Amino acid sequence: MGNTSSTPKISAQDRAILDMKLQRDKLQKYQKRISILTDRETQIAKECLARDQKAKALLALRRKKYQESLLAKTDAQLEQLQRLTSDVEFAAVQKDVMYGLQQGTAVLKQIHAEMGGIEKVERLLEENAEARAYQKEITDMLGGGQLSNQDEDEVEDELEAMERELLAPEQRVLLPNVPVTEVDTTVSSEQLSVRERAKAREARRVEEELLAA
Amino acid sequence: MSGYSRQGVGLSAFQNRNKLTSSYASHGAALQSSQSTSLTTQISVFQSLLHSFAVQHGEDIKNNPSFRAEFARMCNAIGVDPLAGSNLTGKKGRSWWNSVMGEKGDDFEVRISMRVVEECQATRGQNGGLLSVKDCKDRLAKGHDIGGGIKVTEEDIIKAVETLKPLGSGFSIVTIGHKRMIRSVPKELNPDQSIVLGVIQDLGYVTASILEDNLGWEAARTYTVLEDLLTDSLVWLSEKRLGNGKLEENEYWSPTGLEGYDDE
Amino acid sequence: MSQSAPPADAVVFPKSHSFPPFWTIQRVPATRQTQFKHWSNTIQLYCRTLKIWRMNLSDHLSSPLFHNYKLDRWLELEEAQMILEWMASEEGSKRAEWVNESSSGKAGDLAGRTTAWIYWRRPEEWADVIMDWIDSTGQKGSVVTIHEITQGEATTSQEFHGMDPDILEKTLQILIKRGKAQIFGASGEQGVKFF
Repeated sequence: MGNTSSTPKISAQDRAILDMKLQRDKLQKYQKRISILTDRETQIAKECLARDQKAKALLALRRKKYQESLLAKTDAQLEQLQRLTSDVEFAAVQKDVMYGLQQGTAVLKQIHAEMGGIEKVERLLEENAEARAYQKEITDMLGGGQLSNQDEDEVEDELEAMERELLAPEQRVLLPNVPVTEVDTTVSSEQLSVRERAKAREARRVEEELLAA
Repeated sequence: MSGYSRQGVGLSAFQNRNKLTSSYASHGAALQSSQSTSLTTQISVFQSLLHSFAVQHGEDIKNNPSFRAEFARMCNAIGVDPLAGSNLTGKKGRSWWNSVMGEKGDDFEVRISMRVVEECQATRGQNGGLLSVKDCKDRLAKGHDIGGGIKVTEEDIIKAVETLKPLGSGFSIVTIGHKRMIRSVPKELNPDQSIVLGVIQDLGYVTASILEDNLGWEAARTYTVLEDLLTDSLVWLSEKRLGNGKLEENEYWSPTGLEGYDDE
Repeated sequence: MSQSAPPADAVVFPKSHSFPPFWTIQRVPATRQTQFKHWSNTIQLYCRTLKIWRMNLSDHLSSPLFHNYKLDRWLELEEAQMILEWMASEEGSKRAEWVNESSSGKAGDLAGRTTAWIYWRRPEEWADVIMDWIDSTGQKGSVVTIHEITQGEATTSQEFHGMDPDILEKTLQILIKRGKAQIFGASGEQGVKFF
């Protein structure tokens, strides 16, 4: 069934659409498998936090964020490709489509590499030399600008949310009782979060330095 | 009778049979044995003649019992079963009798007759042409409505069978045990067969031992009647294998109450 | 094996399945014909419910289909083969097709025949179903990948989701013959255009 010779009924546009849809199929497949990994990474982050291993928890979350950003990137690319391939003036945009397909393939390759295995993800929980080597590997990879600033912020927010969940229920209930005026609350919470963020980032940097040692 | 040998079921069973002959086992026995094409051609010629006749004289057939009887005798004489579904053109899966009469018959009674014929046809393969009046009533209630929201009673069905009698296809009401049954093939049940079928009504099945012990019959007699019933599709055979490979005694079951199936 | 396959006890067997004689191959031809018709319907029902497209008989001999534990009755492999052989014939309305040839290659020899496609819909019928889907989703004239027809998220509610690839191939061949479809692309990465 490898009928690659062009027949009058199948156009270059048809072939481009097929390639685009083949990428979409792959993405759908990868999405399913990645979500298994990211679920596990979230769980590991929680476990690490419970053991008071904040650096490791952060690492797991950053890895997850990276994988999710890859998926989002492909999603956006595919959306654009879809628009291009259904363009009536296909000949005009054909070059863009070809480029888009190339980009898409590159990102899909990166995602594919991430699907390496859940056993690797589990290593974060270990304490031996192998585990530390793996942690360094991820840190290096992520340090190369793979995550945007916004991504990094979102990861920290997620970590904070997890920490809050870990707090005992009674402590959580206390918070609303603190009597503060509306205006004051806004100002002080802003300052708080900026300070907390800075603290967290500082702590992370220190721990990474320790790991690298 | 035990000793059913698996080798006996040859793959000749799967030879493509002329649908005409296979649908009416006992009456068409002569037809079954002869596979000659000339015979089947003759029959189809006669059938189309009968068909046109029926279409032309449909009103008379419907309204005039003696005319109907004549017509039925004509069908009988050439060994044609006007009720077998696969014969001729007409609505898919329904006999031409249905499609001729069904169109013209607005009567409640005629419609019941047609439905009774349909149900007998649909179940003949599994009950050998013996359907209880009650089962027929249940099947009618499940199927498409007679019309007017009228519920068909057992008496309605019995009356309907009476009107079908002149057809000569063996329509009659027979009593087996304590049940009234619709017989839709001409072959009459002999007394032994009726007795055995009556016994089966209570248990759902019967074995040779049960007959011999309770009725005092000899082995030959039970063997004969059971084989006859099997051949006429009035009972089904059930052999149970025990764990050690031995056979328990054969059971002969009545197929009443089984669901029908949709013809392809 | 699709992710959405229902559990084995989702099958509601008809009355005949609990009727002892149905577990004995009937000697009388007319009766056997009826019996096999019932078995055909039951096997189709079982496969349709559990989304089984091709059945390896040996795998199902101990399943509730071929073994009624309550009744303590079952079919032997040869008996199941007999039924499937009938289903594959004209008489059986071609509701099955053997996947593998017999060991001897001779017609009628059932020795090697253990796996069959079960056509609760025949490929011709599937062809109609798929064309209906293409029509109703406005995809006539557009390109779809082979993969997405049976595995895509857009078809999870469709009857043909998870269809055996061989049956899909047969179905598409029928559509190609009818002039309704064209396959193109490299092997393993093929697309279909419907007309």
